Amino acid sequence: MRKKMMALVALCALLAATACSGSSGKTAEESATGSQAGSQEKVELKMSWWGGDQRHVKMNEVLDKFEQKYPNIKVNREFTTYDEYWNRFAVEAAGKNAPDVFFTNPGGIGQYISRGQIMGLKSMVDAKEIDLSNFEQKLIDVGVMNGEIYMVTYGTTTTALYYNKTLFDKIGVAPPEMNISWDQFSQKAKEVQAKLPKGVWAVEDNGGRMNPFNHYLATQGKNFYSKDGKLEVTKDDVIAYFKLWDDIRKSGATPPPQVQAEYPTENPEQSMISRGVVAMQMGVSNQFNAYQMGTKDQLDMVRLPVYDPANPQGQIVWGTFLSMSAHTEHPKEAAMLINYLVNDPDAMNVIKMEFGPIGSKTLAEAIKPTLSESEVKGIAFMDSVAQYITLQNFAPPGAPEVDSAFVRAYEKVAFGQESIEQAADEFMQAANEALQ
Amino acid sequence: MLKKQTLFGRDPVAYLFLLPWLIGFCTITLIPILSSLYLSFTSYDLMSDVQWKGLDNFAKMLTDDHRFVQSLGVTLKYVFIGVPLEIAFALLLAMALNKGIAGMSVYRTVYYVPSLFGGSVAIAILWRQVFGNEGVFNRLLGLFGIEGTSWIGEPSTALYTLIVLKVWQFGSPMIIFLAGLRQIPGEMYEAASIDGAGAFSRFFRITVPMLTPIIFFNVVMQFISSFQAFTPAFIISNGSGGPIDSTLFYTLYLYEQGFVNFKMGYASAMAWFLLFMIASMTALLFLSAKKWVNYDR
Repeated sequence: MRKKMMALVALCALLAATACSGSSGKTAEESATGSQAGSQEKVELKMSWWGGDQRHVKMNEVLDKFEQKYPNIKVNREFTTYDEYWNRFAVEAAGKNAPDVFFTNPGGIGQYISRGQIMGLKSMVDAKEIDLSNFEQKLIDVGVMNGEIYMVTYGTTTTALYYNKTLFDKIGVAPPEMNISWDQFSQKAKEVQAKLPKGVWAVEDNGGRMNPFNHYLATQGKNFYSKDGKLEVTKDDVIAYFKLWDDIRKSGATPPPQVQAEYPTENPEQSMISRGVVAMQMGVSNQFNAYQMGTKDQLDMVRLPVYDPANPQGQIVWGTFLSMSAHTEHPKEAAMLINYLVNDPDAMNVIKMEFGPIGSKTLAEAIKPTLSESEVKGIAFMDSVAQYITLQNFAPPGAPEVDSAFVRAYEKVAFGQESIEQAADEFMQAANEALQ
Repeated sequence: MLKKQTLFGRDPVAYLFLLPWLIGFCTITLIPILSSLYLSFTSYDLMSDVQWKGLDNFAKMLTDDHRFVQSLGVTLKYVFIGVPLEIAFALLLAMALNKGIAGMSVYRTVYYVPSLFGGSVAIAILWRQVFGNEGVFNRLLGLFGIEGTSWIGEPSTALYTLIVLKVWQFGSPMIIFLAGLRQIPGEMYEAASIDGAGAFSRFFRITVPMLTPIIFFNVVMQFISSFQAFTPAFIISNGSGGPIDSTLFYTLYLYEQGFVNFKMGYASAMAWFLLFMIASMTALLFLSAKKWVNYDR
């Protein structure tokens, strides 16, 4: 019997040992190889990003080049679609397993900054470990909150109104122009709808979409969130925006809400405009290539309507940004990776305009000759609205709840379940609760 | 030779064999369950510290959260319409297959296959297509001159597409019914027909009573699993439970609170309430079983 007890205890001990060694294995290995290789210790970084298949190919290529340039650094890669990205990031952050370098944007980062998950990069930027000296100042400022740099601009994007040029030519209507008012846009949509065949609509219903709504506020000089993470938007703003779209929808210029509900928001190649379901679509400018690839028709883009054409200031810049985990074990190497991604000409030759116009002025000039037509269009578009750029406050924790409350509130209006007053009321209540 | 009573009973080797499972059970099942019980009384966003909240989560859930009530309503509708329909279909088809028609094993397989992967992501994506505005179902209706709408985009019908998906998976309860039907002695039917009983009468007087243990089993199992339904609703609504929360299953809302809004304490409270609900329903079913389940032979 004693033998059996011993065997049992030995087995327990063995299992316990295997369980423990899993987590400490990395540092043990590191210190071992560190002592062998001196300063060239092997470092493993984890990087994660979002995107479609095309992007995964490009990113992998860039990271391969990085590994070639710095043979002691290996980059483990994780990628997924945008919809899934923040879910996965949340789980990893919770498990203290966040990637060392990862994509972020102003919409998603707020909640992680307040929870101490994001590394402040100002000291590294000042020390030129991450060299932003060639960047447009505004594009550095976009990543700043409370004086600390949390995001490095990888590519910029802004809201844009896509339209199907081929379709507009076919029906003989002039496409929307730069700096038209929302009323003029509304008229244009109705004008277009009158000439479209059955099953095609002028524009998708943006009543519940946050991006165009933010732009709607921006051109009035308003902010959605205040600097301290509370709501600055008012119920009247919401009512005005809902009314605008309610009117367009009721005139038949948008697909009915049931059809609208079917289309996922994040897949440009499968979007309504690429599938020929709508003539105009509001989106973000750096997706131009992706939208264009989904259709044989010629697409083009123009600025979203503005509140007051006489004073068209107000344009929000988002994009794809790079951040570093506050818990990274290798801040130096992570900084090297970020620096490589935004400054290295080899890297930029692969990426080019995948993320939209980039931060570094010198690199932008360098890649210009190699760009395709639609990529050049993208840069031209960004240039055309650059003068109107205003900086927005980051979305605070609770922002996802606010976003989904906005979608639901408008859906209720669209399906005729609630009046605009009621829905706006409900939204304000839900949003305030979410931000507590 | 009698085995000696040791610390671990008469066969300590048994525990050695059980050890892998025991370790797995403790670490992967038991400890997380206990943690979630603890978390349900707290506010925890995965990254900051845990804050004790006592019964606040439960109070909020039950009195101050209209989406919670909505999710309960949606789930109860799904369960109380889907399960009876599914069981009825399963029984009907089991009876039909029991007649011994030609090619029966092919039919059996064909009906069983959906229940194998019906709950999968791939099928849910397929379902979106089939019941979408441009989907196969509308084309079918078009053949009869009926113009369909977007069944998954319309709040009044979206849940029903999910119920149809559930009922489509009747294959596994059907197989169990088939086995049960086989066990009913043929002589009982013969005796009944000799006495002049018609098909209806035979069904309700012989088949159903003899099958009540199996019906009971299927009902309990389907109840428990359908309360926990998640994947189809998540995929078909793009994770939103829409349109307008019409497909906001309880588990989907739980997921949203936990993994989108980072309210892990609240989500844990919801999880335990779900357990309480399922346990109560099951207990009620068992209690009622005494009245209608017939175990004599």
